[in-house]
Amino acid sequence: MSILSKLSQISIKSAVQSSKHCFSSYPWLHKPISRTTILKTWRICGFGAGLGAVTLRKAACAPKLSKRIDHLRTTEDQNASMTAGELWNLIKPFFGWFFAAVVCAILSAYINIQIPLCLGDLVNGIVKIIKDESNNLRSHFEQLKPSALHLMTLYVAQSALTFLYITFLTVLGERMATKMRSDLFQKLLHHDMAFFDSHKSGELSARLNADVQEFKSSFKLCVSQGLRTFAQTIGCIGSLYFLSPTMTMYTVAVVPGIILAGSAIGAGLRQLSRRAQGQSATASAVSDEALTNIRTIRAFAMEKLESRLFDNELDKARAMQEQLGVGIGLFQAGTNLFLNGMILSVLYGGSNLISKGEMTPGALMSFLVSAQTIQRSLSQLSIIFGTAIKGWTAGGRVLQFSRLEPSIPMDTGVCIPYHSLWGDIKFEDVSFSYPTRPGHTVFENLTLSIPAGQVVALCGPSGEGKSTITHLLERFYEPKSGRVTLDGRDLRELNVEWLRGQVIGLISQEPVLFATSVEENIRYGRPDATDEEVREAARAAHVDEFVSRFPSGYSTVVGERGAQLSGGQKQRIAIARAILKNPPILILDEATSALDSHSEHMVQEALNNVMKGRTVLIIAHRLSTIRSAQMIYVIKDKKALESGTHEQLMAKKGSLYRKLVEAHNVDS
Amino acid sequence: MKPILLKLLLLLHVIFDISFTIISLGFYTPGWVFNLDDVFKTFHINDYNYMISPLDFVGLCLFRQVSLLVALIIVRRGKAERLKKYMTIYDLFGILGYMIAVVKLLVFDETSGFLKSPGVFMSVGSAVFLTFSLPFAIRKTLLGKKKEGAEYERLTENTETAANTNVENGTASTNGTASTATPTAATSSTSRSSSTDEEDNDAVSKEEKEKRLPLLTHLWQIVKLCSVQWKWFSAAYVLLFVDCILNLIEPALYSQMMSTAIRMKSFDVLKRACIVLAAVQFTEATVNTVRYICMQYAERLTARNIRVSLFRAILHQDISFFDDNKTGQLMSRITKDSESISNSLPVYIETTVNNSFMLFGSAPIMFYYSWQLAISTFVTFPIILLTTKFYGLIVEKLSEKENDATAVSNETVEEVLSAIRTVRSFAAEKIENMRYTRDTDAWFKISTKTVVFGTFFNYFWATMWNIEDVIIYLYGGYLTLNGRMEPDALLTYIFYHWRLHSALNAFSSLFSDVMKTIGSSRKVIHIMNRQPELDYEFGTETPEIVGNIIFEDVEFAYPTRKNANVLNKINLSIDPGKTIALVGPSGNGKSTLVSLIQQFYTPQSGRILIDGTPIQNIDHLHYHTNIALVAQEPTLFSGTVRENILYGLENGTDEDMMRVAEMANVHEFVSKMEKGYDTKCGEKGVQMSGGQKQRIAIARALIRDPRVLILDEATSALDSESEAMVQEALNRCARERTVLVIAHRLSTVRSADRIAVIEKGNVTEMGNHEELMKNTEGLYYKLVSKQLDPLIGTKKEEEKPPATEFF
Repeated sequence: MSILSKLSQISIKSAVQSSKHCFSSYPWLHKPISRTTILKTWRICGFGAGLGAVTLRKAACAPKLSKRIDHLRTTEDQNASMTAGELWNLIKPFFGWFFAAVVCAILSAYINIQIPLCLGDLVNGIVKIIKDESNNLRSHFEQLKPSALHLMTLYVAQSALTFLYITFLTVLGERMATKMRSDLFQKLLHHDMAFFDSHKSGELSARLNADVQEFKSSFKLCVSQGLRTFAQTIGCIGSLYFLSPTMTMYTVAVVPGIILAGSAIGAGLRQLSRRAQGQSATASAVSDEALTNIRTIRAFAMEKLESRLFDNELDKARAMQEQLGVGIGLFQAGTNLFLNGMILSVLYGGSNLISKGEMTPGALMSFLVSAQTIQRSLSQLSIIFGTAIKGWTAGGRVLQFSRLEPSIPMDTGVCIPYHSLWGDIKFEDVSFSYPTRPGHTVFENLTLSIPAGQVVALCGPSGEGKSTITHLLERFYEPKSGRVTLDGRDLRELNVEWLRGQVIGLISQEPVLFATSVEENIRYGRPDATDEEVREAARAAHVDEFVSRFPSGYSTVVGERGAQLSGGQKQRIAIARAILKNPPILILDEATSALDSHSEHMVQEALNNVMKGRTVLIIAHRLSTIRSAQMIYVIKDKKALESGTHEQLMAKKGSLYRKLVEAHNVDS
Repeated sequence: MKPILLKLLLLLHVIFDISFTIISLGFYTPGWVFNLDDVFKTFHINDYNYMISPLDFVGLCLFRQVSLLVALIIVRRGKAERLKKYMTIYDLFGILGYMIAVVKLLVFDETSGFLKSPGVFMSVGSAVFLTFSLPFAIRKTLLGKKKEGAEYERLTENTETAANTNVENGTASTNGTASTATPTAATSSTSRSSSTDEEDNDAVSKEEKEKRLPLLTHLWQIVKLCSVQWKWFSAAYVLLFVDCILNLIEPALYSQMMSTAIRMKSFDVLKRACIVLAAVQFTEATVNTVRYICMQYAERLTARNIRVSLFRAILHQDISFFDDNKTGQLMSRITKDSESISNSLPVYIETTVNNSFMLFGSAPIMFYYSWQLAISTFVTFPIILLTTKFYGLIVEKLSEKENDATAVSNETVEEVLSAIRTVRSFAAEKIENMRYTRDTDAWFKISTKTVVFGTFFNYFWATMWNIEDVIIYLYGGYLTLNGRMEPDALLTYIFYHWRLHSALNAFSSLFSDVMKTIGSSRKVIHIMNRQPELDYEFGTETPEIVGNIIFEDVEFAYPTRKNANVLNKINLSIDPGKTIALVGPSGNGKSTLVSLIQQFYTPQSGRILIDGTPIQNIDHLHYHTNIALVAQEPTLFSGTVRENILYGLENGTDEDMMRVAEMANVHEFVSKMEKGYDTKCGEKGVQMSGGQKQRIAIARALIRDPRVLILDEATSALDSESEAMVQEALNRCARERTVLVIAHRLSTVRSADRIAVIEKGNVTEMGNHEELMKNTEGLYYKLVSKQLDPLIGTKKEEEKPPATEFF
């Protein structure tokens, strides 16, 4: 209403001013503005405002699809292309197979070139029979036999060579693909945690499988068909020249134009191919996340929504693929039309030459078959070109991740000998924010000390960075400033694999189990452990209690991510895994939050035994877990706000720790 | 009655065979005049001339009778199973007889005027027909059912009677005996050599029996998937038909031009022929382009539909399906396997139509130009067909294995990358890499075997066909030399022969590709056909939900551990509008009760009712709109905080989101973040702490305003202060709802209206906090005492009076 009033006033003022300015020019405006005019103005303004409001409201209420995957579209494959050097690096380990395949392909092409010449001899023999009216018929037939036998020999040899080079190429292609997959997987395992924060596992799987498969198929086809096609084309052109120089010049002169046109189209197709494959990866990511979280989808009855999401992404991929298909189709059609025309001109010109006596019928036959071979070769070349585009793109996508180097190398750095390792940990003026959220500072000049052989507890409100301390200690991320030291040495100098593999044992609040047996999950802590050692760790963590009631015992398969066990059962298996690992430094990140009081009590006793002689870092909310620590830090406001023993912190007036404990007591 | 009838048919077959063979010998003179002297003349061994004597057909006839006799003897001895293994040998005999008969026809053609005798055609026709019908008859009569011994004896006597008739002729007795002896010896040697092949034949026959019907059904399913886009496919096939006709015309035009050039006719004729050929080729190129575009469009649509259907079918499965199948495997099915269906079958149909047209179009034309050459061309077909059939079965098996190996390696990748934090914290990268390498190597071996085997088959095929090419050239030249074939006809025949060659090559490639597709698509079709045990679209009722939940004698065991009962005839009643807490040791079934309420699984026995209605009868969407779950490990998606809270709500507003965010204490930490509610959570929420994830999940549940709220350890990752705030908010919400709480914290449990203690799948205690604490022997008392123990210890340790007084 206020807007309407203001608009009306503005209109009135404008009308009045306009009237004043025109006073001298238009005498008929001397009349005062009537009430009717004012009312009309108001209605018009009101109508306009209402119309605008309705429009805005409708826009706001437009139905929306879930935006769950919008952020995927911002990523572009900027480096999705492969260089010749990288291709050579892939081939080099298997050069022997490659060379053998090339030799066989060239020999096969050479024999393919000889076949038309033999056919020419046969046709000449037939033509002689037609023309010869003498009675010496048997001698003509005898002349036909050697040519036929020669032709059969060539046929058999060609088949054998084809078998050989395809076999060689198969071995080469499969081994290259296997090595690519293995190298890429190894490379992925080396990447920073930040890399996995920003890349979905579904997309990584697609790179590892679909793109490698595409590259391998393209490579095999290009080498087998392309190489033979090229050799046959060159060889047949030589044959054509030998048979008829004039016709050969006419035929070959047109080819460069076709090649240039093909290259121009190819550039566009290459870009289209890249976009199409990117969209396919997006669709895979949608289905991957949905399948991984099927329980949540089922619990919210969102099956139809997820189907609709997948439909959307697949439709986009389909549209792009269709454009690509049409482009390739037109390219092939144009090529075929031109090549058929070439054959036609050969027949026309050749027949003309024969009628003039400048060419024998056999030579024309040879020329025709050779020209057809060129036609078939160039047709295959156009198909190979399309396949090469896809393969090049797929190879680039595979190598894109291989080119990335992790900022935290895993195989360099020194190891502290066991007898010199004490486990003294210090955070010195550490500042940190996650790479994916640089604007949000988690720590600012954090300083704390975890003395060797002692139990230190961290507590504080959720989301204040307690788990982040664990991540920095494990070197999943690097501090922005300051440093973390172990026995006085900066973590950056130490070997990461050794640090994680032998020194630090982590039990997190959501332990991840693998889809294998209970026994194997425990053994993950130390792969070379014996059955007895696994059982011992299981008993210590009270895993034996519930496993012994399973029909399959320790062979029970726990399901994907341990979906078939309760939270408490999973935590106990994770504890057993850490016990088996037997590391000097132990980190318990809410390790017992899913246990009932009785189980927690028993597991706590086991952990107390395990903790003797080790450096232990505990992150928990439960008083029963924290109070036994020799040092407690309260983490809040980006730093360690308070520190001390349970008694010291309780004695301090107004401390946060005391408030947390009192809240616990009141609820109890 | 039926066995006797079959026996009679077999006897008639024998009589017809012998009598027709002998009678046809009498017609080897022009005209339909029976000449008994010709019959006798055939049996004069001394006058035998391969070029004109039909004695070979008599030999074939005797061979067939001996083969049948051997089969009868084997069956009579009760070794019918062994005879089944020998049937491949009988098929080979049939092919051999066919080849002998056809070649004999060509030889007869060498004698001028000999083909005017009807006897020639009678002999050749009967030999071809009877040689193939014998294995068929044996299969139908002797292998179909067990026969009585008496029947065999009677049939044997009839055969002997026929033999005696020959003896009565006198002049033929010696020859007959000699002919009979040789086939018998051959049969014996063949039997001995075949014993070494028993295993192979047995394997092949087993595979055939196992897969025959499923194969046809399987192909039909694939056809139905592709036929949804019938309009586009139909357009493509019509254009393909036009293309085929144009292709059939070309060889004749080529030949015409060659003939014109050779005979040096007028130049005008040459130009006219070129113009016609140019028009045909241009039309063909145009038709081909349009057809290609139609085909591509149809394929892409089909691919999309198959993936969508498969994804929907997977979403449709019950939770136990996901317990058995890994995510990586399902991903492999959706992408790789489903693509093979849409890309393959339309192309196969196209190739089949195209090359069938070339085959059946070229064949009559070839016969028209020279029936002798045409017969030579087709003489080796049966051998090739038999080899192809054997090869196809092997390819299908290998293809299925290859896809399984691919799915296994995908599974490894998916699991490792999803759990990368655990892998890294245990420095297990090398172990995982070795595992993946081993899986990939397995795939490599199978893949290599598949390709090498296929390549060798192609080599065999190409060699056979190339040899035939040379035979055509030699024989064609011979016929032309003798003036029995026009030179122009030979040229035209050669052109059509090449077309036929290409068509048959395409067929051989097609066959192995079809078998690969069948192998690849078996898993996909299986998933699409799978009916979930618990179909979430079953229920249709939409009653108003108040929140009265009742378990009646419910028994349950997880499908993957059927022998271990988690719930044992549990009875539990949850009153509407009340808060009930479930407590008990880990692994005793508390979360299982929640899974059953959520309809993730179906109980083995008993019922679950909500407001008196069995829950499986309630509409899926309606049910889950009114019942919300916050799990102990809540799953967040990788979008923003806002998107996670508003997940699935199409009408959610920011006001709604803010309201529940404040209630769940989400606002407190989100407001400190740089991007606020637009902060990304990371894949599976890895960039949030456990407490933050739980609060977002609580907000997501509350925004739906459910009638029943289930909190499964929903606050276990919160600190005491946050938990107190969230608990207060939940308490306010609980006034109008039924709340089911599973927790270990006393602070969460004690405020419930009722507490149920779950132990070993049963309710052992029920009541409120005060009531249960009175039972000092109960489990609840023990659990609570353990939690209070530290405080008691603290009290004892305190010495200062003020501190003691404070506590």
